Amino acid sequence: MAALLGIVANAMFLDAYGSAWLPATYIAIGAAGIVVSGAVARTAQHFDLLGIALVVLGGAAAAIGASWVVATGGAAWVSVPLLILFPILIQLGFVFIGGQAGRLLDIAGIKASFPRIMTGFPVGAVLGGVLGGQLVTWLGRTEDLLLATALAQAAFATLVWATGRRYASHLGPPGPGPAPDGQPDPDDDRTPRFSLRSSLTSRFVALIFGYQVLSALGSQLADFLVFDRATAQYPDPADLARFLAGYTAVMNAVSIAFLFALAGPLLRRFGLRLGIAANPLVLTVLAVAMLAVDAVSGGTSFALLVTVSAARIADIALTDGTTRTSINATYQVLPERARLSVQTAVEGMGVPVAIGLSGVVILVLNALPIALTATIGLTAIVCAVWTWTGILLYREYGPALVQALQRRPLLVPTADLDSTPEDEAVARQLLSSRDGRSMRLGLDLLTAMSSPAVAVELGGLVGDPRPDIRMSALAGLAASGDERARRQLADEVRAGAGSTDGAIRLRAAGALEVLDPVDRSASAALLEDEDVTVRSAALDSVQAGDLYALAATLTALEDARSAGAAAGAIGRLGDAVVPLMAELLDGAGAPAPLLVMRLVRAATTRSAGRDQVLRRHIGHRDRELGLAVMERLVAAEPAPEESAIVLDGILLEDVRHARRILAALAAIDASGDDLRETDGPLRRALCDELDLVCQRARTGRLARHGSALLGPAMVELGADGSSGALALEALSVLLSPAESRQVLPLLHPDLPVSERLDQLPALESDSPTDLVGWLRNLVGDADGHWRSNWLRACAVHAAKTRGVLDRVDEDAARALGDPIVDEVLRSASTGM
Amino acid sequence: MMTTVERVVALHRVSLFADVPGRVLAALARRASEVDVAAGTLVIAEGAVEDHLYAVVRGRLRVHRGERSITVLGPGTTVGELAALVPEPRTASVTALEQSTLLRIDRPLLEELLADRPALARGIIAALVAMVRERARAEPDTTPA
Repeated sequence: MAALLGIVANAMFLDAYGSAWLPATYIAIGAAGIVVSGAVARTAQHFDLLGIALVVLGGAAAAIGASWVVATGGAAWVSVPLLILFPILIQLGFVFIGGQAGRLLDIAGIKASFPRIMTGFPVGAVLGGVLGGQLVTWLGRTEDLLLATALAQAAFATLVWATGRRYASHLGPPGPGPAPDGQPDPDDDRTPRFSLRSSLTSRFVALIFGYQVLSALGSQLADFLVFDRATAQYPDPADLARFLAGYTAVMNAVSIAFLFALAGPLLRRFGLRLGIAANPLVLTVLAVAMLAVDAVSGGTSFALLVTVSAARIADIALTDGTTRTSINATYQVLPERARLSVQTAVEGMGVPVAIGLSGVVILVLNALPIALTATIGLTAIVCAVWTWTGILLYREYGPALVQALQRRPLLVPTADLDSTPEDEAVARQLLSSRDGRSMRLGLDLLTAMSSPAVAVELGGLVGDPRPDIRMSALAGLAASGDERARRQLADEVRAGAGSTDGAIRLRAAGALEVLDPVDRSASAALLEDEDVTVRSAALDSVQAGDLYALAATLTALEDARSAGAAAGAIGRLGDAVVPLMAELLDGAGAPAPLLVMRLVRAATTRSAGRDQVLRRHIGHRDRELGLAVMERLVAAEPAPEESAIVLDGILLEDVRHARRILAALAAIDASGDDLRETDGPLRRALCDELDLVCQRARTGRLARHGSALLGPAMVELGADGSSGALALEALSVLLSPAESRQVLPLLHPDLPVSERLDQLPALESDSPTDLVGWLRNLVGDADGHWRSNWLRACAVHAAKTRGVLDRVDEDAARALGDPIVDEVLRSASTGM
Repeated sequence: MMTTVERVVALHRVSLFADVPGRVLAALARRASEVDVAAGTLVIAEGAVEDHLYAVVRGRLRVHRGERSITVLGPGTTVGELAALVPEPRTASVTALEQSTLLRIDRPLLEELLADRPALARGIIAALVAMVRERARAEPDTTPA
């Protein structure tokens, strides 16, 4: 459609008015583009993409059809609005196609597939060029091409409508979303409204706009230079036509080949870093080359024509292949509701503005005595600024991705829990009950209330004959600062701790927290109470500095029933635990004792001492313990330099281990015989091991770079959320290229084994090549890579069921002394 | 007698333990008791206060109240999960319909697993909710055994 409209509009206009008026149409295009795109952008705030696209494209088809009627009556003026409509329609077409692609594909899909979608544009241009001439011959008049153009435009609208119907669930009206700047609407926190004005003034959108304007301006200048130099080189119209035919053929061939074969893989491999920078950088280099050729060979030299043609061909291929795809991908960080409006405003206005600007600039430069050199120089400057804008845009892209992934808090962090008079009345009613359980409930409620009147009620209960009631009342008074009650409570707790009644001991344990450390230590026996409920209540009362509680807390940590309460106590004990933790970590082998693992997981209070001890063990041989250590070291800020180096080394080792696991999995998958089912336990064990490595990679990067930077992306990946592709994109931008290549194949949730293997660095050359080799490697573990008795047991099991047990090192497996491995070996020898 | 590896394979088929890594589940599997029951054996008696669950490895079990059947369970299912978490009298009886192999998991084993894998609680809650819903559909006034 674009090719046909371009042919007929230019032919009619040039025939009627000549080329001198072309720059004036550029200015008109700029003005009209702003008006039309602004209207579409505003409409997009209230209507869905499909409806707007159908109205615009259908309206354009009708307008072109009407212009055909006018043109057949001999009115040449109709070519003016057509010439203005031509670039605006192209831009809006890109917006609608890009908008649909943006809703149907995630960011990875856009990078992989959008270049191929864009291939349709140069293919259409070639077809239009070929068909245009043929149609004029058949129809007899150039104006009649308008009818074909209107039909093509209607077909485009039909295609958009069919796509909308086919993918109605994806392309329907978007739901409400957060404002693009991430700020909630002050009027309504639940359904924030989108503001086009605030979106356009955000730095990120402003950079996209600037980038697009400079892109269009650079392209327009390069295009002008080709025609300008071709006219100078070939004064004869026939020679000029031959050159332009060849140039157009090469341009379209290069563009189609690049779009179809290279652009997608390049974007997948190098991401938006390349996609945004390639086009301006290549054009800057070629513009500088033009200046050099102009200076050396002269403005009318063939070498200059070749250089400007090469620049324009490269520009077309890169614009369609990488620039449009990359810019389309950047819109993905905007809320879905804002995307179409912003995209229409930026692209629909940006490009016409640039075209208008180029018209003014060319008119001014043509008035200069050194018009050619000035135009080339200006092209170089525009492209250099465009490159710089691209760099700024890419720098802004990472933070924008992080912002897009950040979730708004679901709960208000502070809640008002003050009691009301009604609450107090209920508590008093319960307190006056004859039923002991109701009375205790009333007492618990009353002690939790901060009302001054409560003290009077509690004071009346300190003389109650029941020790648990007395302790509760005294605990309430002591908590409000009554020193006398605290002393009396200490006596009661000491006495209660020795009671044979579990309920009294439980009450005593619960009251420990309001006592002084000395009085708490006097009742330390409660920490070792035979009743796990009492023990857990006493552990809940442990506070920072309670050194007396350390040994008992550690014992409780070993018992699964009290491990939760003990972990809380360990966390509150803070630095007091560090020397013990250091000692246990220093002595822990692989597999590490359960107690060490629980201790590290429980040591949640950050301190310089704790972190120093933990950092020594980030690379612990027990990978699960290493993971627990890394988890504890994750902070908002990045790790110190020396830890960062260690963490990078660990990542490298984990990547090698992942490669090993994947190679073993691939060997199982390739075994392709009836015995594949028998490898089930080993396959699952390897998958679990891979999962552990992936967790280590994720946590290690969080500890390395800080949760403030990577947290939102890692949370999204861990939650298997709908923004997984956006999270992977964020990581590819926020991590260094080398780091991305190591981490992304591990963190990509849906990557098949073979693709992960391809993307990870190669293994040592002496790695096994078949399943039996891997079984031997797993069972023997001569290099100490695997360090997992469970994997060994599963490998022995697989070797046994495959009948190749004699080909693995049974002695090495026996030497482990692992009961599960021994059990499998025994079952093999007895034929069980 | 099943090896630990075979027990882990059997437990991985149970939704309650499907996401637990084998290396973690191995400790539980080793200490679980393997129970072989003949057809007609009463595995759980309604009203009994116990604190263990059974994972069905082989065979089929009938969950019933008196003579009224509630559901039939096969390999990869569990019975008695609630009692293993909170000991209460069993709310229904379970009888083997055929020669069956079960793995009995006592409460302390489950507690140990939960102590080190708090995230498992989410999976257990999801599995319990699914089970309660399924049984409620089968018989609206029935709670799990």
